Amino acid sequence: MMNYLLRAVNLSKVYHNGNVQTIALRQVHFALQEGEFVAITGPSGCGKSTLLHLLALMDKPTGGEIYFMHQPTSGLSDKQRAQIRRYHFGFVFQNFNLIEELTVAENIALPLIYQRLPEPERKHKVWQVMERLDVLHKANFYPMQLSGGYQQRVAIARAIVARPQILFADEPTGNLDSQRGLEVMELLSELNQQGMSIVMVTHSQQCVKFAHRAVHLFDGQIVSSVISHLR
Amino acid sequence: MQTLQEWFKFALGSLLRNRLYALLNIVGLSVGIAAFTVLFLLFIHETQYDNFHPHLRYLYRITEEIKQSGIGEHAASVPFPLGPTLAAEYPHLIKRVTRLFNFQSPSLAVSYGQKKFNEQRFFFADSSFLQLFGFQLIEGEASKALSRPGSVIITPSTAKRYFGNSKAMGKRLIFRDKFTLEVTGIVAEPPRRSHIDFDFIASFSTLEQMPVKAAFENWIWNPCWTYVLLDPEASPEMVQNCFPDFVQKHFPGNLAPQVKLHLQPVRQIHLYSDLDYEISANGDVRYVYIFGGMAVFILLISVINFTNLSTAMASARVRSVVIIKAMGISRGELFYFHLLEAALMSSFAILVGFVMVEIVSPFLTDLSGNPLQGSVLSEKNMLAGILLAGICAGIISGIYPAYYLASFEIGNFYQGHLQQLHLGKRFRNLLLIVQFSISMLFFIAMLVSGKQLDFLQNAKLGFDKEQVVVVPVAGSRIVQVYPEFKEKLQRHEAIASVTAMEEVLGKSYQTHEFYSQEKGNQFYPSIVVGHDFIRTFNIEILVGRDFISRSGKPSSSENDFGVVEDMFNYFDEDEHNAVIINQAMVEYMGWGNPLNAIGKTLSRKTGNEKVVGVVKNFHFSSLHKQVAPFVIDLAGDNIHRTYIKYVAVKIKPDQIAAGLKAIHQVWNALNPSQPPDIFFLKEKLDKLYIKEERFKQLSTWLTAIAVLLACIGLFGISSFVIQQRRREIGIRKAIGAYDYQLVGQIVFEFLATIAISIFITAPIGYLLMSNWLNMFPYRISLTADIFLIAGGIIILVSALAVVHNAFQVTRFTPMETLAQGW
Ligand SMILES: Nc1ncnc2c1ncn2[C@@H]1O[C@H](COP(=O)(O)OP(=O)(O)O)[C@@H](O)[C@H]1O
Ligand SMILES: [Mg+2]
Repeated sequence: MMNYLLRAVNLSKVYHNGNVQTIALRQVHFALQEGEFVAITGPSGCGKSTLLHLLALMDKPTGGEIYFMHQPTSGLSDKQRAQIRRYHFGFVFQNFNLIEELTVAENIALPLIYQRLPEPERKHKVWQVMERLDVLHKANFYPMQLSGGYQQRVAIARAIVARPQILFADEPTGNLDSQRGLEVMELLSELNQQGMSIVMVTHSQQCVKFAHRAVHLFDGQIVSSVISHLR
Repeated sequence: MQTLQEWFKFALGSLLRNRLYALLNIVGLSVGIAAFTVLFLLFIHETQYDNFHPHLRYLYRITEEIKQSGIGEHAASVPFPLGPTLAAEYPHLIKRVTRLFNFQSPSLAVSYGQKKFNEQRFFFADSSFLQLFGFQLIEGEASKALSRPGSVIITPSTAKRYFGNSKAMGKRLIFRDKFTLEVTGIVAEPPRRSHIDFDFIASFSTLEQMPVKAAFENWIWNPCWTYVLLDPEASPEMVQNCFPDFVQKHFPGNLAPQVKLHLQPVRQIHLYSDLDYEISANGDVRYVYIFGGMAVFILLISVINFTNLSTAMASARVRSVVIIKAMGISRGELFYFHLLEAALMSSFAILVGFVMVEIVSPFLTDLSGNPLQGSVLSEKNMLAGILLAGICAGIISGIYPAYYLASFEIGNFYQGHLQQLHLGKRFRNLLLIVQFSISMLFFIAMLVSGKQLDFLQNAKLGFDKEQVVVVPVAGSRIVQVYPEFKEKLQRHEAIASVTAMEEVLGKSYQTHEFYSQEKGNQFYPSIVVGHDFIRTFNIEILVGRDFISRSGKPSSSENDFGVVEDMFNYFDEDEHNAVIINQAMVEYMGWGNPLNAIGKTLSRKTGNEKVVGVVKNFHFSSLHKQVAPFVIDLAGDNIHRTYIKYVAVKIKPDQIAAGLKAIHQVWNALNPSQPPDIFFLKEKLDKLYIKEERFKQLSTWLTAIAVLLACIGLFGISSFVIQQRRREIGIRKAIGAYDYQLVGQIVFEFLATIAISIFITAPIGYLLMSNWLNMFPYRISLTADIFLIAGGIIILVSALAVVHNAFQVTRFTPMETLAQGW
């Protein structure tokens, strides 16, 4: 048996909105090995984000099971799921989801605060990651005062500041120019080389090249899984 | 118009969708309006006393202060001859004078055939009564009705009570079994806001047939409430200036130096007068201020509430409003439509509030416990005023939410959003702080007034008020047969002891003149009593002895109060030779050790009294007054008739029913023509604190309402805030915050705001309540537990209001939280 860090079996998700039902995922299988960098691609609306949210335990599937370190997660309590997100996962939202009332530095510090890291250590780590993503000069700005590109980098900084075991990134370069996008991808692969497993949703072929493997999603189903040729 | 219609469709739909909030909103405002209206009714009631008299500006009462070094009395009434003499001597200053007299008796016996009543609202008045005051005759002639002896005017309800539906005019009532009173007029019921409240007014000249006529030229006894109508040309100062000469000229020489007369405006009597022998219990201007303040506060709370809940409801509409705007409603229109909606809702709430007031109004009483009978509908001006005020309040409280909603536009949604967010937060917190500060204040008032009332009603008075039954006997046949009455009662086994007294101990007292070597002639608070007084009331004797009856022994068989007969057996007739004083008197006289007081002279004009005993200080009047020097004087047989107004009977424990039956039996055997009028001393004394009782009741209700309203508001605002912070909460959940952390954080943030209001209010409450307590010479101390209890309960209740909403956080996954509203 393979040593999968994260595995999804028969995953499906149906959204109910009033009388409207949207089937976003049908019977999807997915597996992530420790240290793997996987890209999820597919046309808009095919269910990429949905899959990512489910894998990151941010939403509950309508059917199927997700195993994290071989443990089924469907029976876990809300608190246990939160605990996994808190200590093992990092997430970059497609629309960043920064807290408007908090400054850039405060936003980035959030995961560390919930991990109860002591203040000096926290400051140091936040400072480091801000420098790394070149947002240090915006530390005391509020998200709304930043351009989309900056917001995206802040979101990435927040996701990686605690060095999660798995990083989930929903189109992390979507708002960046190609130069910045490249820098971010290089950062991600560096993190990956240091041992972080990454699941990334992306449109861009450029970005897919950085991944070990690309999963192609169409209309809620996985249509192909391709090992990247570059590596 | 088209847009307005569209708006209404939209608003109605939105109200129905948010039923709970709409309901809470209307209920909150209507309860607030109802409470405000009740307080306002009380306020009006208390401030409008006696304003129906036509010449109110010139109408004064004459009061008499008899004091020496602060000891004595300030009476609302004056001697018989004072009024007429004053009018005769100063005709250019005083146009009219009228006196009211009721024997200073709690009730007077009136009968018609078999109908016999002890009437409490019976006065004799000079014939000028109807000209001086604004009371209206329905039947009879105002100029003649009270001119002849043996005339009486009565109110319609009294007429009905005695004569049923037959014509009252010309009918003859019997006063005190002897004197005939012919009904010469029917007078309209006195307005409920009158400090003179009567059922009967009999002609003053009737008194000339009675023994009391002897007092007509007496300048010492002061039982007549005397009112004067000043000449419009005369100022009260001019009259005041005449008083010293007048006193000098007419009052007896030894009394004159102690006497000061005052003019008291009739319009100020109800709120400002608290003298000895008031004609009836008055209000108190301090409570009027308190009601006014409470009224404003409760209105403020409900307006804030309305704002909070409307804002909460508005937030639920944001999305639809953006759509509505796209339909072509302008920003300005939107703003006005919202105000219109707020005004409509508040008018509806006011109507509901008025209905509530109408429902509770039969149960409303004023400060003295009299029914308010006030219908909102009967106060037309007030009705209009409150209606207007309510609608204004609705509009004012609608402004913020209307502005909030109107400001949303797709374009500027993010621009300036942050600023508004912070501003809105500060504004909301301010509103919360105001609301909860008021609630806390009411809460403190409730606890403090409750504790103080409890203290007043249960304080050790220094005498027994339990098991004691009081029988008013003034003017009845019992006075003449008192020894027999007592004898027969004592024979009954349920009865422990019997005594007589001239006032109700613990409620009122008289002032009598005593001569001492130290102070000469002076008036002292005192009471004339019968034998066994000390024993019946179980007053502690410090040194000396109780009064002894002529046989040389206490009149009762048991000798349980430690008579030191050997030392004091030279007092052979205590009726003329003995008084008992309290410790305060010993101090006032400078006698030092109470033992030194024994044998000192403290004599009446007619006697040779010396001090035979000193008792521990006891509260011979209400705890509103400090204990003063006090003399207990034993009545002689010859003066029994004027001094014995009450018989006090102590009943043995657990035999109350048998004791009461015995009293009725003995009374009926000796005085069959008149029913007895019995009351329990404790009940009477509890009524001394009716204002405090009412204040406590009122603050209890208002606290309940204020806390309820504040919590309704908090419920609304917390749901609004959580709604607004949905995104933030979702993000935190995604990052790994536990639900309990988020719930805790939300609850904590609200409770911190409320804790701030508690901390702000505690010292204010402390100051205000110490101020209130300063009215009482005997009072509780303000301990920390009062504030802890009030603060603790408010925190607890508000936590309940927030927790429900906060728990919404736990219902959804992070993505659900981020994606949708609740
Ligand atoms: N919260 C939601 N409620 C209802 N439908 C949703 C929700 N989120 C996503 N969907 C629908 O599910 C489908 C997949 O969406 P998503 O996972 O966001 O696609 P992608 O990320 O590939 O563009 C789409 O049809 C989308 O409209
Ligand atoms: Mg997506």
